[in-house]
Amino acid sequence: MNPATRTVALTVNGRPYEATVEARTLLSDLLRHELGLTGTHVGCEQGACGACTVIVDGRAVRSCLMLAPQADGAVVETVEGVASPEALHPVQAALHAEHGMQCGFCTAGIVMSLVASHRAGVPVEEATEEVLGGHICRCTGYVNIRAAVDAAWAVAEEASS
Amino acid sequence: MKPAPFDYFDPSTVDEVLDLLGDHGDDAVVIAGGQSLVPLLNLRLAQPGVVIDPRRCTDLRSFSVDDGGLTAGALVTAAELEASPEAGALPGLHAALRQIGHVQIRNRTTIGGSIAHADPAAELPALLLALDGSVTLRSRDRGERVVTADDLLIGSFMTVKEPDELLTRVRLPRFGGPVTVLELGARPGDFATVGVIVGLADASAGVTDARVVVFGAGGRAQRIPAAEAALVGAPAAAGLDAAVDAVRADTEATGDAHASADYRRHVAGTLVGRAVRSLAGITTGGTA
Repeated sequence: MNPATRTVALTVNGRPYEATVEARTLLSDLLRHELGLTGTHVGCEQGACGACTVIVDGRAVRSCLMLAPQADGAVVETVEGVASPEALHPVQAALHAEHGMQCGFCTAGIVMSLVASHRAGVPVEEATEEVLGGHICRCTGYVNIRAAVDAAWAVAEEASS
Repeated sequence: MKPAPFDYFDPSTVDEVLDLLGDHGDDAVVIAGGQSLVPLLNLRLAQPGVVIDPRRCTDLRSFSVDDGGLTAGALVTAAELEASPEAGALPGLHAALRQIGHVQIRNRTTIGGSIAHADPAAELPALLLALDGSVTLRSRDRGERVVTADDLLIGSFMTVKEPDELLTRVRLPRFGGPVTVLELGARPGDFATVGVIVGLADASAGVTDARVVVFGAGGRAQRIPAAEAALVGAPAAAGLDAAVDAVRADTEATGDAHASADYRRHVAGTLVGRAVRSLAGITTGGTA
C-alpha cells in the first residue's frame, strides 16, 4: 500500500470498523467524516480545548492529537456509545439534571473525560479540578458543570455504600 | 488546520525505526505520544515527508525503578509514571508530571517525546537537567551513545540528537533529598511563564547537595550553579537570600507577550525562595 494511506481497523462503541484513509487523517476526522460519528466535536485542533476528547483503550485523550493510524487496533468510545438504550449514563444524567451546559459544544468531550474518571474511581476533587481543567467551556463559568460532577459522584457513592 | 500529507511507517522493531531514520532522517519525524507534534502538524509548522511511529516497539514501553533511579523506555507515558508508586517515590518526578498539561494530555505524553521535543517550558527536560539525568540515543550507522541532559539540551526545541538518531531510553537518577517543582502560569496546566525545580539534601542540618533549575524563562532549562553553591554547606536558611539573588542575576531570560525578561528573572527568584522555604520548613521571612 502507498505509505501515505492506511487501512485502520478499530472498535468504536463496541462495533468493529475498518476504513482506508490518508495517513495524515486525525482520529477526530476519522470518527466524524468516515464513521459519521459527529457527536465528537472539533474545537481548537491543537489539544487545548478538550471538545474532541474520546476514550481510547480506557483513557480519555484528545482525538485531534492522534493520527488515525495510531488508533489502529484500539478500542474507542465516543459520546454516542455512553448511554444505554434505557438510560443516560450517571454523568450524562447529572449534567442534564444540573443543566451543566449552555451551547453544548464542549459537552461531549466533558462527558467522555468524566465517564473515564468516574469509571476509574477518581476522587471528586480531582474530577472537578484536574479533569474539568482539561476542558474549556466558554458559556457556563463551570458552576453547573461542577454541580453535575458533585451529583454524579454522590450517586456513585450512594450506590457503593 | 490539518496536517500536510506524509508517508507513515509503524515498524515493530527499533532496528527498523533506525533503518527508516537512516534513510529519511532529514525529512522524517518520530511520533511518540504526539501531544506536541500533532499540534505542529495540524498548524503546518512541521511538514515532514515521513512520519515514523514506533508504538509497536514494545521494548520502548517498559520502565523500572531501583535505588539509583528511574530507567524508562522512551514511550512510557506520563500517566503510567504518575500511577506508579515506585516512580512517585522518586523525588521531584510526581510533582513534575502533575504539571504537564492535564490528565487528557498526560494519558498520551511520553517521557522520551517530551525530552526530545525540548520545549523550553517543559517539565521533564528541566527535571532531567536538575537530577543529572541522561538519555540514550541510537542510530543505525553509529550505534548507541549516552548523553547527559546538560549536553543534550542546546536551545529552544533544540537538542544534539542527530536526525538519524532515536531517543530510546531515559535515565533519571534518584536525588538524595526532596525536590519540588513550582510554576507560574496563566492557569494550571498551561505552559509555565517561568518555572523552577529545587532539590535540597539535608536542608536543616547543613545542605550537602542542592539543585536549582529555572525553565520556561529563555532558550532552555538552566542550572544556576551560584544558587546551588550558596545553599550548600550550611542550613538552607543561611543561603536562602544569596540563592534568590543568584537566580535573579544569572537566569538567562527572554521577553515575549506573556512576560518581560526582567519579570521572568524576578519571578524565578521568588519561586526559588518559596521552594527552598517549603523544602527546608522555613516559616519566617518575606515572599521572595
